[in-house]
Amino acid sequence: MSYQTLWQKLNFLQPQSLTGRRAASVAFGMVVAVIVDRYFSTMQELWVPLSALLVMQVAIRTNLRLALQYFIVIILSVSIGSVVAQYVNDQFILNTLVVATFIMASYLHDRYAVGGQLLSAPLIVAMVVLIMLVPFPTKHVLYSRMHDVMLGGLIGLVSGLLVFPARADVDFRTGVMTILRAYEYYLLAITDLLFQQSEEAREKVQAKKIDVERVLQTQSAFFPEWVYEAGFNVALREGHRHFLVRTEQAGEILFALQHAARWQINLELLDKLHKPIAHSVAQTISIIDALVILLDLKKLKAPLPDFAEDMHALEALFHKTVALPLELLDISQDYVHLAAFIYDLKDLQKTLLKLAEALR
Amino acid sequence: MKSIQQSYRLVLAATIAFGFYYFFQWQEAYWIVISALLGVQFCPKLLWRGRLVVVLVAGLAAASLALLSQLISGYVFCLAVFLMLTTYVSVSLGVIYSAIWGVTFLTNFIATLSAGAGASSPFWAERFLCVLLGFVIAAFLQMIFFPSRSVASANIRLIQCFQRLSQLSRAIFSCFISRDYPEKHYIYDKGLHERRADCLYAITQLRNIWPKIENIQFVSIVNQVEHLYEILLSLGILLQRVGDHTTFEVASVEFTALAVSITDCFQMLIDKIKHPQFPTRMDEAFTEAIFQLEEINRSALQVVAREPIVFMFFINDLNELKEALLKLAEDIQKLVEGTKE
Repeated sequence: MSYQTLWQKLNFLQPQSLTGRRAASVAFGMVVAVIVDRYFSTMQELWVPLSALLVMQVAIRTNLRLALQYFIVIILSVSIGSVVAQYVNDQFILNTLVVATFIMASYLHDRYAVGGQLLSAPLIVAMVVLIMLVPFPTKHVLYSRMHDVMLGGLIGLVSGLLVFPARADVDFRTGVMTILRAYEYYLLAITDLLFQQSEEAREKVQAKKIDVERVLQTQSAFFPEWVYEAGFNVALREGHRHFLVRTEQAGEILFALQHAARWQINLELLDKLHKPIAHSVAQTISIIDALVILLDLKKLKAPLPDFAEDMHALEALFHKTVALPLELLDISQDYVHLAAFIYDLKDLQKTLLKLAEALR
Repeated sequence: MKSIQQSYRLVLAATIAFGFYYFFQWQEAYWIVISALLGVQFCPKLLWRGRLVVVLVAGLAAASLALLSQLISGYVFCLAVFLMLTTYVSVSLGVIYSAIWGVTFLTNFIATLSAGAGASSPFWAERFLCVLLGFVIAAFLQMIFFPSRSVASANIRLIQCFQRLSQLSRAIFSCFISRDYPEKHYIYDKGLHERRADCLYAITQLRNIWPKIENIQFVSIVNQVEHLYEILLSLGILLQRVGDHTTFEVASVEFTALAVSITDCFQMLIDKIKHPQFPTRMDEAFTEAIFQLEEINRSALQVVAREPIVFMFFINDLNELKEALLKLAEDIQKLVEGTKE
């Protein structure tokens, strides 16, 4: 394994990677919280790092509102839990109460949580209440605990905001650029499949498709799934979501293109259209390149030419070649698949141009 | 339903854990309850063998980290560095391997809690054992409650794929049928995004078991499942192509029938995996629904639509979907029967 491959695999150790920055932010918050707990807490029950850890489960860089909600939920559940633990002296009753609350809160979490890598308010209540099972030596501790929890929550919030701070726009652009690059290679592989229909082309397209699937997965480090989270930055939300929806639509069209390209079309027919289709694919690639440059530099090196004319020319050539009204295409599957491919290509260009428009 | 099952699981976990708690009467016995309940709650989204391994490994890691953090809790800078490293690794692993995010977070949480809760207790070995025992209870409950654990893992993943594809087809057709789509398109788009993401995840999970299964038939089935996904997305493009959403209202009855019959087809495939002896009757309702759409396409859609050809592509894709589903049903029957022999 080469040094570069190893370094890529250890992505989370790189401070510029999304994962590395997130982990470093939370880890830094924990160090501060432990030290603050030791020197500024009266009880040293580690409530400072515990509440910091819970608050920092939200990616504060993109969702401060949710982090504040967690903070309030932790304060409320710690205070109610402490009061109950203070007044219920029977250990059996306390245990039963804690477990019943845990199960009820967990039920609410499973029933209503949105999913993904997020805790939810009920789950935080469940976890905090469960800590009440610990036989802490001090009992009358409400104010001290509240003090510690507030300190921890504040450390969590400040650490999330200041250590490797918000770069929602940059992270979004990086993620989308990776997706577009994967689209580019996939489109080239699909075109090869259409013209060659060889086993080699099939394997290549499969490999490129897997790459696209990987970057489109919401769990991938590249896909900016967080723009869909409730509470995401209001100023960026609408534009980013719109852009991501369009980017995903382009991905859908690529999958549809592969579906059309799977069909082994008559070689004679394909030969007639080889040049204009290849030209059209090259133009689509140039739009993707322009988009990547736009995302990277925020400006184009050269203006985008008008592609509509070429697409109309391709359609016209297709009509001429087929020499039939398109409504009667169902007489030949070859024509149907070729027409579908050309329409998909046209749609892909349209969608990509809309993305470019949105960026200008 | 899932949340009720999870509640049963938690009740059982609490009962068993408290059984041990009162039986042993150990000083550190509360750790059994804490780790059992949290272990059940933060269960990884894996198949049962994967779950079992991950929960047990996480249990061992959590017990060791709890022990270490308790032992060094008196040395504040050591503890800070230790918790920093634990947090860094657990957050990174959780982000990279989202399926085990819950257990990595839980391990980190237990390590932190152990440094504060009764850290001065001399019964450190007891704590180690109690945390481990709690996770063993969680792993045991994962095993006995995992649905269809008797069916081979590959079959479970296939079933999951068909469920996700069925949900995706429903989401696509609901965009066609729903009249409020133009006003609330963002909600529908988000739903489609989630369904697509679920499908991609399920397909990736299915593909991940290729190397473990040396069965050409299975590989062919996985390829066909991927092709089904492509066809469904190709069907979904109609939504972008038909600019005027009212066009769909002309054929809303036909689209509804198609949505129902496609869902039935996927259900039939799932039944086929579970009971291969069931006859394949998926084509009748689906063929009829396609025929009805062809009829209305000729009589109305060709007149109303701005680009009539897109409906022809749609019908062509439907026919290919039908063929692909039939072929898949046959191959699944052969695969399941072959596995039984």
